[in-house]
Amino acid sequence: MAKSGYVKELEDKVLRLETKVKHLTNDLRLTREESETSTQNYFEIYSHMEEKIDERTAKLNELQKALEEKNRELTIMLDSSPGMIFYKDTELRHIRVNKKYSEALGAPIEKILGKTYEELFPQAGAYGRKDDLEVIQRGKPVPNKTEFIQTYEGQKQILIDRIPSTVDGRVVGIIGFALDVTYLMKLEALRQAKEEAEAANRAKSEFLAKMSHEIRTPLNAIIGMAELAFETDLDVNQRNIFHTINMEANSLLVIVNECLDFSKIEAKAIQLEEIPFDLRYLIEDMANSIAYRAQQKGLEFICFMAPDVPSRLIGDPSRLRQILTNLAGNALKFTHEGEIYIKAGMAEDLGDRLKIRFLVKDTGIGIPKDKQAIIFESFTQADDSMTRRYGGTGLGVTISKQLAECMGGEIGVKSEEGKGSTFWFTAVFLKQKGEPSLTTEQVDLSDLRVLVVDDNLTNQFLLKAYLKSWGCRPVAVSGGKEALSLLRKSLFMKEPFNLILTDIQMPEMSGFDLATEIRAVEAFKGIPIIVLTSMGMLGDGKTCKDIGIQGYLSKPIRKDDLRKAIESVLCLSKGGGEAAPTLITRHTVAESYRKGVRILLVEDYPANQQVAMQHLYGGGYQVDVAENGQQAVEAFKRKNYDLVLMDIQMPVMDGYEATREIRKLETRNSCCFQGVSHKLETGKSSTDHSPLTTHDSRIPIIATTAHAIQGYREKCLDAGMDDYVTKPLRRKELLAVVERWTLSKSGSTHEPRQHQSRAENIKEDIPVEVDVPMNFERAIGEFMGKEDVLMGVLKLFLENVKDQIGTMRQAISEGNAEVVEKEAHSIKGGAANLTADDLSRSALELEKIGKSRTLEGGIEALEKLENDFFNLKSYAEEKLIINKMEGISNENLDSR
Amino acid sequence: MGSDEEKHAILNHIVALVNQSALSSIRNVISGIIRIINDPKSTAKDLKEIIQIDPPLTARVLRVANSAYYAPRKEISEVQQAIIWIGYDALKELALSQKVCGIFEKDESIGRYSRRLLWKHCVAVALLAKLIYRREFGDRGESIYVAGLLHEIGIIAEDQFFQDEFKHILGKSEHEKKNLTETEYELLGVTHTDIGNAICDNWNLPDELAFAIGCHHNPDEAPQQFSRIVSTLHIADYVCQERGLGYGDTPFPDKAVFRECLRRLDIQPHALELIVESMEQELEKMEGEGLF
Repeated sequence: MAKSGYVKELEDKVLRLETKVKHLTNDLRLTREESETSTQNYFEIYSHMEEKIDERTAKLNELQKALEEKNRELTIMLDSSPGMIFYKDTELRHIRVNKKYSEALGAPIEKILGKTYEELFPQAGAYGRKDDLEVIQRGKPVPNKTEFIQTYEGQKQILIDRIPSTVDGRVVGIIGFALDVTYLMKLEALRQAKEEAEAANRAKSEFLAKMSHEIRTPLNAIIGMAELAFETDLDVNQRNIFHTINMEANSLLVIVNECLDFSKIEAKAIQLEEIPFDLRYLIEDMANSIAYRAQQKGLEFICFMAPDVPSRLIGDPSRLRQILTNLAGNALKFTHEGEIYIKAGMAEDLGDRLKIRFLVKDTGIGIPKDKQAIIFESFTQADDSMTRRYGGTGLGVTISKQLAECMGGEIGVKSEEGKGSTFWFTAVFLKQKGEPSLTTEQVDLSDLRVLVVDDNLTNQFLLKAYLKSWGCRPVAVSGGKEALSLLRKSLFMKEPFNLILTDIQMPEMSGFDLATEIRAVEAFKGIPIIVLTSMGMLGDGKTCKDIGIQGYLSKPIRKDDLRKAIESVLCLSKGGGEAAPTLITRHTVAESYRKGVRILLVEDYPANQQVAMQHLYGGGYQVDVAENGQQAVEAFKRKNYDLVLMDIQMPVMDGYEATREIRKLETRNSCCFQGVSHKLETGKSSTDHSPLTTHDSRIPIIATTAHAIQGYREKCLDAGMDDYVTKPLRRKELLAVVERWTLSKSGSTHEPRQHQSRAENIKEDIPVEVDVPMNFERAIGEFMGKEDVLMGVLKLFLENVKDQIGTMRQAISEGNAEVVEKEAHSIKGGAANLTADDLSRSALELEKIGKSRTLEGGIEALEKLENDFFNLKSYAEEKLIINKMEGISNENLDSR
Repeated sequence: MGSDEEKHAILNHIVALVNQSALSSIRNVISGIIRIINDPKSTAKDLKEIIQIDPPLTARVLRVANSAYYAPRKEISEVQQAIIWIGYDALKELALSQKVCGIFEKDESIGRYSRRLLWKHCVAVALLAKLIYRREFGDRGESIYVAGLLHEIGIIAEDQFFQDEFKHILGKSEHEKKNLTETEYELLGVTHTDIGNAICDNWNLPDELAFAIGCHHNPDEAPQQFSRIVSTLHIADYVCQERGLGYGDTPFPDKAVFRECLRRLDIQPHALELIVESMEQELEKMEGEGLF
């Protein structure tokens, strides 16, 4: 069956359509698939883009943060600037300012920003506007302008730099850096004022130094002349006048010296010495002079140096001594009862150096709390009324403070009004190298059982400290009864006491009473006893011997003295059975001979005079001054000297010539002088030690010269001198030389002696008593304990003697020996009644001269009597009858 | 002619030359896009990365994307924008053709041969083969598109490395009225299909691609599993030469093989006719826009 063409065509068409449908279906499906994929892809890409946007946003945020951080840093930097910083636009409006700027203007930053300076301070005027505009117009910095600006806190002065801010060479703003110099300018003004004030102060100090120096020169002359006049033929009135002149001039000299010291320190002109010295010696030596004055005021005086303090030091001993003397002098001045206590202890060991702490404690009037701080300031005493009551410049403490500070230390005070003051200070010294102190300890004192009896606890403490340092085993009690009971107990124990140290002045039972009771017990007879006293009395020595006391020591106790005394006492007791009981006293060889040594100091230059005199006085010598060779020769003719210290270069007559003159006089008149010299002795010691004995008729002359070269020594020796010391004079050197050449007086060897060896014991049959012109206690005893009666008699006696001396002087000049004998006899008896043994003895001497009818040596004997009279008089005056006496000033009669 | 070993040595030699020359520059892009095509999890991002790593290609792709053919509303300046505007799948083809096109750029005619004409032929074959896949088999035909673009790469290799021999081959084929492969075999001992196959092998391209290129003149020789791609490529090659699209290397085709292919793939002649129409329209449009 054949299909028709139409059908065929139709079938084809259907087929084609079917194919098309198939194709389209396939395409459609694929396209849908693809579009799905695309959608997925779009979505993916879209989300990716979101991520990207987030990423970008995050990045932007980061940038923003970094920018903020940078801005914060910048703000911190700007705000931490010590100067003011501003940024203004070209219209001069503030765009940015730092904290300082806002502070300086006194307005908050928000208030400043966007405004010009003129808008902020309309009334202020256009400060700096010209410069601002110049920077903007020229584009160049304007540095270093000083301007005044108005702020909400008043006008301020600023120093300002202006810099243009440019972008591509175009000025877009102005940056300013400014410093507020208001304060600096004020400071500068203050600094100038301070400098001026300091300069003025320096000028004042220099003036003071100059003045002090200038005053000292005539003052020295006054003192010297007064002293020379003192030795001439004077009546009693004249003598009083010169005595007063001398006293007052010396007080004035002390004040002037203080001023000089003070101004030197103020002007920083003080120079400390660095010389080796012995601290223990210095303190104990100084203590001696204080002790005497304390004793006269009835004060207990204790001086203690801790055993661990090295004694051999290098420093400035005279300055140290000055501080101690100042403080101790004040303590003395302001204390009326109780005690004065000086102590030296270790503060710090600094290796080759050490710091020592000194203490000066008193039981005086004290210092009010509010005054304690200012007491170290210049010219200040606790109260101005003090100056009137106690005198003095008030500089002593100030100088002490300055000196302590110069010595690397400090000074301070603790005080309670009415109870006393404690001054302390520290000072740094170098240690001496090499062998230790020369103190030799030959006798072994270790394990020695010592009974210490003293009612004063401080004394107990220091005695125990000394004893312990030697290995002793001390036991201390405060009174005689306790001591006896302890001794009795010791009988039953295996450890008896080997030694007893007892004070004499104790309230219940005196040291002598105690010793008597001890000696009454058979079992205690062998225990050596050393008594300690702060008041030496005539007859003590005899009392000691009678009771059976082996040792007698004066306070303040020196460690070395105590040791020597103990050693000697122990040796004695060990030797035992000696017929003649022996007493050990502190009197040293040096002390005993120095008192009688008179030195002629020949020196024209006042400062050198002062230095030498200070040193020699300090060493216990008597000194006369001659200002040139001529004066020296004159002095040598009139008076008997043991030593001459001779300057070389002097006006009028130089040292060589003067020496030759003196040697000539010596050979010519030696016999004559020998005869008189013995009677001329002015020392209080009765020991005979004439300087011009037969074997040594030649006076030692020591040259003092600034030229230390060899040739001078020969030249000095050629001129008849014996030795020489170089200037500037050092205390130690000077004293060593003087000591070497005056030793013959004590009968010791010619070998140079060390100061430390002074503390040597001597054994004498008759104990040498301390220097009191009368035994006051015994005298009261004589007058049945009635002090007022004694005083009345004493006063009358002194007035009589004063007249009698005048009478005798006239009698001698008239050759009336009878009158002399009579008056002298009367004085002798009266003096003996009043226990004034010295005066009694010199009166006896004069009586003998009167009896001889020749009156030979009469003047000299009268002089000696007069001297003893003055001693007695001042002693009596100081013995609390000051108000009953009339007439002359008497302060410090014995201080030099 | 020569033994298999000799043939092998020649092919190795040629492949070595290819790898040393600019021809190998297309290798990475081709491998990369084929990997994306075969990996269902791949995304536009992967494609973007392949294109962006090759700046000349990126420039070409953006130039095409901005052409009137795609007519973007605003200038496309990023591959990502191109993907969005052109579409992921379309861009794969665009990138491929733009890359492969590069090796056909040398305008020198030898008789009726020129690279340009050869390229036109390749594009036509790729387009047609793809449409057959899509319409007849409902398959996206991405692999066969690649095969279409690359099926004459052997000729390019000959043109490049054996220019004198190649001219001789062309002249001889013309003169003796023979198909190109015959003369090639006579003179070189290998055909351009052998060379294409060897390059694919060497570049580790998928086996189906290697076989499609290697057997497009004699599809019967391909293994059974690649029968469809090889047959389709043969049909497209046959039709394009018949229609005179670009250069044809087989002026004397074996119609029986063609019919056998159609029969094997169950493609009705009228269906093929419809597809060819679509292809010719598309090709015309592309040519009009100067896309190749």
